[in-house]
Amino acid sequence: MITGWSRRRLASAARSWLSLSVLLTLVVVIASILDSKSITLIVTSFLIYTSMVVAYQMFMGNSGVVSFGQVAFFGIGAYSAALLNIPPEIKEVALPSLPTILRQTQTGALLAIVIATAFSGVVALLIGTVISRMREDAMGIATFALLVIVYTIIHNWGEVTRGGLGLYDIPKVMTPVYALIGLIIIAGVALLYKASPIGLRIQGAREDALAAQSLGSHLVPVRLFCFVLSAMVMGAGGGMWAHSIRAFGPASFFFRDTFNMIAMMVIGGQASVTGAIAGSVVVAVVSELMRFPEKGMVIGTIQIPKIYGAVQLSVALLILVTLILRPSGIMGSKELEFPFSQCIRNLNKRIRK
Amino acid sequence: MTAELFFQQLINAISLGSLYALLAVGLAIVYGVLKVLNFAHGDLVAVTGYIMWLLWMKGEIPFPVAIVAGIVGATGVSILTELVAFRPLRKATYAVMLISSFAISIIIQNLIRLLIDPRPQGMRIPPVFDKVISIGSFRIGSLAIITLVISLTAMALLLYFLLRTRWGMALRAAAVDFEVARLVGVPANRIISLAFAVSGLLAGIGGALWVIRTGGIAPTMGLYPIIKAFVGNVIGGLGSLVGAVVGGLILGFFDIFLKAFLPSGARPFVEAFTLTAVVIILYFRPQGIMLKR
Amino acid sequence: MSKTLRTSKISKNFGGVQALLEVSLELPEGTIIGLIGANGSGKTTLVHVITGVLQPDSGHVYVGDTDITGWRTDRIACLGIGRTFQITRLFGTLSVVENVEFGVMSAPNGEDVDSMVNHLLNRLKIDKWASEKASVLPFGVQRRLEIARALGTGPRFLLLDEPAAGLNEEEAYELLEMIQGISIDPDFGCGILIIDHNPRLILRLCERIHVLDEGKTIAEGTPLEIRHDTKVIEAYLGKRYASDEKVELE
Repeated sequence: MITGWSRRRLASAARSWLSLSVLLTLVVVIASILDSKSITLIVTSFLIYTSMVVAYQMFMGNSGVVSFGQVAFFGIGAYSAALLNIPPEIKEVALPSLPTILRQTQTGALLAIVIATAFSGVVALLIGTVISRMREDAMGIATFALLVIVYTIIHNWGEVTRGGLGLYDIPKVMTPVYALIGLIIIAGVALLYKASPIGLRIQGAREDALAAQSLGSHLVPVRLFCFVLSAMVMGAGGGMWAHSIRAFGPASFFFRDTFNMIAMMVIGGQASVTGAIAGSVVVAVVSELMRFPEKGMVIGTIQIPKIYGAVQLSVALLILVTLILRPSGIMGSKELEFPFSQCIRNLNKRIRK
Repeated sequence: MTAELFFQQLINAISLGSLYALLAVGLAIVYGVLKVLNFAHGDLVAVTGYIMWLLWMKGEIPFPVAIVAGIVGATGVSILTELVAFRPLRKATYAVMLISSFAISIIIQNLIRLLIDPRPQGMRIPPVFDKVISIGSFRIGSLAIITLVISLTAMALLLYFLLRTRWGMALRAAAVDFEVARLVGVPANRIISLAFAVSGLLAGIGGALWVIRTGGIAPTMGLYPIIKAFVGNVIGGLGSLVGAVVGGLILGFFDIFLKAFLPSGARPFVEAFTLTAVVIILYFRPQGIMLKR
Repeated sequence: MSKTLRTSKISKNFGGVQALLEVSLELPEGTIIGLIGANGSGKTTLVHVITGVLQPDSGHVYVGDTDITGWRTDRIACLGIGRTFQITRLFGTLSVVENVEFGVMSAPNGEDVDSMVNHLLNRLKIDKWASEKASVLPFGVQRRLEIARALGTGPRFLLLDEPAAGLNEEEAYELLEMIQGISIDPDFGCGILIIDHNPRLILRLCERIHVLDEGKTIAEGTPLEIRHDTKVIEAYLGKRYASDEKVELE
């Protein structure tokens, strides 16, 4: 019984998408003008990371369920894509016990990411059928369990993942432009989902599950869809990420990134895609700023001692302050929307004068 | 498997289980009044460990004093976290409080890194914990016995507190129905602080035992304790103190016997197995193993 | 073809308390039926049973010839049964429009969502608050919003649980007139069951009235009949008045 798209919601989502795309494209354009290697790296990594925050937001923001497990799909996506696209010569040496088909193929980045996305979806479907039937407090623990389980498997399944040593020599294919395209597509999916009938259903279920049911909404498939969609996008982000850093290991993500991404969502506004992006910017900036005191700095002739944990401390404090003072985050549930039609009208008026 | 080996593993399982039970109960007490799982509970173990390390290894203060100081420290930090973070968020949703407790956990870890030391450290454990006691052909570690005795004593004292003292009964009333308890005159702030104090005390005792057992400390060492405490609560049924104890014991058995029986190749996956089993339990019986009274 | 929603000998026991005992009630499409009784007489429990929130210990619920006893709540709702709650259950952080949209998006005829939403907002006179969040609305508006949302699904039967509770006399009357208008509106044309523990407004509005007391049906009939029914008067005013012929319920 899922019919009835609302044109109003779609139009609003389209405007937000356009606004965000323009803004993000501007950032990339400015960065390319500056033409510095380190800025290119920062921008690419920021865009990919933000894609995953948006994926995370798609689940937590719409369903209201606190999940500690979405990052597991980041890992699954990254490893799948990497295993598919590392050159066969390297795989022969580093992963001799890999199944022959896997060892001898190199699918190219795009196909690798697509397959990684699909694979994440399949895993999410299997796990999701269990999770989507649980009570709310049980779900939080189950997702935490998911994170630990996936981490343990990846860390210990040496024949496939090289365990703690990690994978290397993944073709470093991602450029700021590719990352931008990826983020724009992902933001589009997120906004489309938020505006869709099935998106509204989970938002209602988030507010009052009984009321949602009494209006004809079967909760389990709605929750499952949210979980799987979010996991697939997360997997895509993981795939992109694997192609941006050449080498990684299991310690690269999991708990630290779960923390970072939750921080970005909470600070920016859980219920909004723009919020996820805004939060990503804020936390990234604060983290970069705090990296200096963490390494210790010299101001004039004063040596400031290393402030260990400055980065995480600041971010964690930011989370607390946000939750106490403005729990809905910077954006609340609002999306960025440039009043395009208004601007065009004003422009027309000026042209006519 | 010989009878002796089985018996030894049994003692180990009960001992480890009682430690897990201690940690689980501490978590359950805060859950009882606030209805949220406090992530930072595990990090109180780290607080205890680091205080002990500072005093014993760096300050050459006698081990028993270091232990007591560690426990007091954990209690103090627990009360502090309630004052600073949970109290302003009293009216918040479950999700907000959960994330806040997560943030507090990170803050504690990083304060340890900042104020004390960021690197993992080893702890010299006094030999009394290393002894092996022989009863006939059975050999039992003194640590196992000490852990068992202390955990059981602590839980017995807790039971007495909850059942026989005024404040204990007030705490139980608040856990059953907070609003009604308030109407009857239980002061909300004090009761919650009390819950955190008791919880911190239990975490401190459990933390001391944990540190003695593992012989080392690290800023992130709270992760495993919190997982064990979570899981113990879930198995036994969220909201039940007895459930937490039972859940912790069952988890101890699971850990010891899985490690003993699994082929060595599968050992690293013990955590994964346990957690998968927990998720399955949650799916089929979300209220936990305990039968509702 | 007009269908009927009916319950047949519904019984429900809660830990020793017999909340409902063999209650049979009929709600034909296109009529307004009232369900009255003192607090705790089982009115809301009956609605919970009809909508699948609770399972009855015995008895059946039928829509036409279909036995829906034991169905899941959302399946029952899809069949065309809508309801509101005694204490409003709105989607607090969603706007008025979004709340109504939720209902409309489930409508089987897949009409243009936006115009249907606007139509409902105007009809229930809540268009002024369209973009406000549901949680900040004045109480009377919240009540009307919940009804608009339930109407959005295009229900054949609408069960309203104390829709006027908490409203002053004037607001309550206005609301009930609105409800009456809805029931005769060919656009909506559903059977409406209104629950209230205050009989006065029900007596004015409904074609038939069903009276519960302590889980049992004690009377059923037209407003006129109910007004003079001794058992009902006894339940509401006490035994003393029951034998006094001049007394009637009003």
